[in-house]
Amino acid sequence: MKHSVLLDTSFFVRLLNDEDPLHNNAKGYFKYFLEEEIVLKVSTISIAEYCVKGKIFANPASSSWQSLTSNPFVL
Amino acid sequence: MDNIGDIEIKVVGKSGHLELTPDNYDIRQIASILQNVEDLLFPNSKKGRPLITYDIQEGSVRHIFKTPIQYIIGFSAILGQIQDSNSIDFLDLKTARAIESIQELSLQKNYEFQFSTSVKDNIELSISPKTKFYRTENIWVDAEFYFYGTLTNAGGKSKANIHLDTKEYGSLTIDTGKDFLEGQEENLLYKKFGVRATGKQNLDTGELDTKSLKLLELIDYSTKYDSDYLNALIAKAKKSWEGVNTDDWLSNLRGGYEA
Repeated sequence: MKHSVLLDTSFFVRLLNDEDPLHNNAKGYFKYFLEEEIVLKVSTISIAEYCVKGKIFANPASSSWQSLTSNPFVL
Repeated sequence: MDNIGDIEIKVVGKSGHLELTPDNYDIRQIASILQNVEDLLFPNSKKGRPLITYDIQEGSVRHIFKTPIQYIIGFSAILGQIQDSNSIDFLDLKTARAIESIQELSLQKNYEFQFSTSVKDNIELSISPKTKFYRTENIWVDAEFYFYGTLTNAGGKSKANIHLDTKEYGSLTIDTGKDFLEGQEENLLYKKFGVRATGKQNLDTGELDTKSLKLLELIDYSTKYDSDYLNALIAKAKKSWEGVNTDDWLSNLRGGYEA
């Protein structure tokens, strides 16, 4: 069976801010999940929370968000 | 009880001025009934389904289908529920479509279709021009979907579409319009893609109408870790998070509620 993991808001904040103390942890997990073909899932609540401050997610159709979903994210 | 049961669909009507008999009943209508019965009995997987045999008899026209009794019992229950509720909204999509198709045929030809099975003596469902077995349209709403899979086909003479082989839904046909395919410079076939598409979704069951899909966007789909790409995203995104303590910010945002 293929494994999957649900990523919370803080994961995205830390992954996309390299000054966060836990950035390397998030990046390491992200790399590991992709290499192991683990399906990454994110809830719409996390997206909404990220959007409170994170501009690149303000529009789900923005190029950045599309690029991120082009990795194995499932909405 | 026999292991094999039967379903009878009796067609009552006229062919011109003559009473309907197998001698004046067109093969196109027989083909339509055969297809619909297969969808009614086995809406999901036709692979590995048991044998369904067929016979046509007089009086007016009687379609007789034989298959294992287990499936007849299930089918009889569905017929009863349709007749009692006078609705087909509870059915899954393929079964509902098959009933709608028979309802349509009934209107076109002024036929009455009387369904009965070997499980019960009486007529279990009657579809005539007077009945209205159609899905309630408003429970199917427009929705947006993401699918991931391998593109196995692209083109079409009259309806341009792509076929996407997905793990979750099997092969999906998604309308694209000719312009979209015409403008593609690279070969799309056998590559992995994400697809953003619109389509109809059932409000009650969440079921997706796979015949209604229209492409919004084709997304390159790569599962490889790409540090350059991630760094480019970080460079754009980090400005929003300068000086933010993630834990404090989230705690404040959630008002003390921790998911």
